[in-house]
Amino acid sequence: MSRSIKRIILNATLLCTSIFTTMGEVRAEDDLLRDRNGDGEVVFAGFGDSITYGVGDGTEPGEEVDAIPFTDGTVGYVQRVSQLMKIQALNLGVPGEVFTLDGINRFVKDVSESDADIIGIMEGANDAIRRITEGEYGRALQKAINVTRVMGKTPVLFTLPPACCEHAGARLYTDVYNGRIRHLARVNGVAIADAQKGWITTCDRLDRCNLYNLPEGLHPNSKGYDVISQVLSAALYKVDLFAAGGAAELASALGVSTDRIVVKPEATDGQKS
Amino acid sequence: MGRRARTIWCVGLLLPFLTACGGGGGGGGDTSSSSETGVRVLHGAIEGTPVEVFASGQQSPLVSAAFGEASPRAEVDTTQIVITERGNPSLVMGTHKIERSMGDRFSILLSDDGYRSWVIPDGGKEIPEGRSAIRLVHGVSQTEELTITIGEASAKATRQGRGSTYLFVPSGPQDVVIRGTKVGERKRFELEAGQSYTVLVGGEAGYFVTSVLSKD
Repeated sequence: MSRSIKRIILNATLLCTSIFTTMGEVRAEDDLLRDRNGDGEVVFAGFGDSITYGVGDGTEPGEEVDAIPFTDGTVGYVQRVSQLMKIQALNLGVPGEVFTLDGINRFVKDVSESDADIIGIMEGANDAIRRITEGEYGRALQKAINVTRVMGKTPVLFTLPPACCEHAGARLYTDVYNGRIRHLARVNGVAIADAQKGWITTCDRLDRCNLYNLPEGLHPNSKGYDVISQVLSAALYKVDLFAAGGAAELASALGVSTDRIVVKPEATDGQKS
Repeated sequence: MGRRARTIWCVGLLLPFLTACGGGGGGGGDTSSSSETGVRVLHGAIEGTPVEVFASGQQSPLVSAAFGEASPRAEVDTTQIVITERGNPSLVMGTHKIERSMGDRFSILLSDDGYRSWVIPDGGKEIPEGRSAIRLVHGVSQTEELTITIGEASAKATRQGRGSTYLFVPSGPQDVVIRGTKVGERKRFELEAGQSYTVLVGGEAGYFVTSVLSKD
């Protein structure tokens, strides 16, 4: 075979590989970061309670906080995701809200009136404090998934960070809800932004986690909101943030340096993360 | 090798790969039927997970649907069908015996109030020339009677789990109005002459209701 034919075969192979690789990437992103309503931009909306609203943002790890900063709804993970991913992001958080009582009732109106293509659902901390059953929580969450899909939008489910300290009692319920959230994500084929896992790998200690305003232990501090925004970005880019090299992959997708990624990988056998 | 021959050779090499790049997509909201007869699922349960329907004793599902979807139709060669959560065949959500009285086409309707399911026969009557047949199937919880109205014609589904009688209406674009207590839906559907249709109306009255047209 002449050298020119070999070169053509090589070039054609590289071109084919390039086409397939590019298509794979587009398809992977296309599934979640898609302009579903055709308005020319991808818009994310975060639906939830005070943790979506951004309550507690502005304090740093290690601070003992007497009064949690309420904020004005323009900070928290939603604002960080907008900056990180350079997409429009809407904050549909309502502090103090119980998902199964109030959140699900405003869900249809708030979601249908937004221009969002992607709806991130992160609510359940107040349900846990009120000891709402797993069954009731799961039915409300499935309802929200169904409504989101019929409206032509893409749902993304957050797992709930494990509370600690003054709110340690809520953790029993949020752990159970997280099991249901994972189950519903699987049977519905919905992406998970795994805040629970982000807490488990990144907290210095789970029983007094440095990602929370302490000693309150329910509302994240600045670093906690960084974690939530990064697990969401990883979910939207389909990056396994908890794998070795996940942080570098996410940093590359976001166009930031790897040291901006604060979420730690999952510990492997014989290695502490 | 000349430039022209090289180009042809390269295109020839790439063509099979490029043609293989197409396809994909589809699924989900596709309301066209893959089979003329057999079973399909009409999923109107707003609190319900996606489901699969199995012929009893079989490993592969016949059909699958999520809320607000009408599945394609699949032939059933069994005496019993089993409804399970999608991807979770151990979670059985209902079973139905297959009887001759169901005819050769029927739907499994899912709706809330404890995730109930009903078997509803489909189609059957001869459609007058130049017209289409259309009915509603009532999968809405927390409301009683639903009415479908097209122009002057209307029919009622007396309660959840029931279908209305078929209306024979002119083919072409038609405004379909669904009404009930805390339910009001209006949609324009394109109806083919000689074709029979079902409008699945699902959800929860006063909260969120959706309607989807499918060919019988």
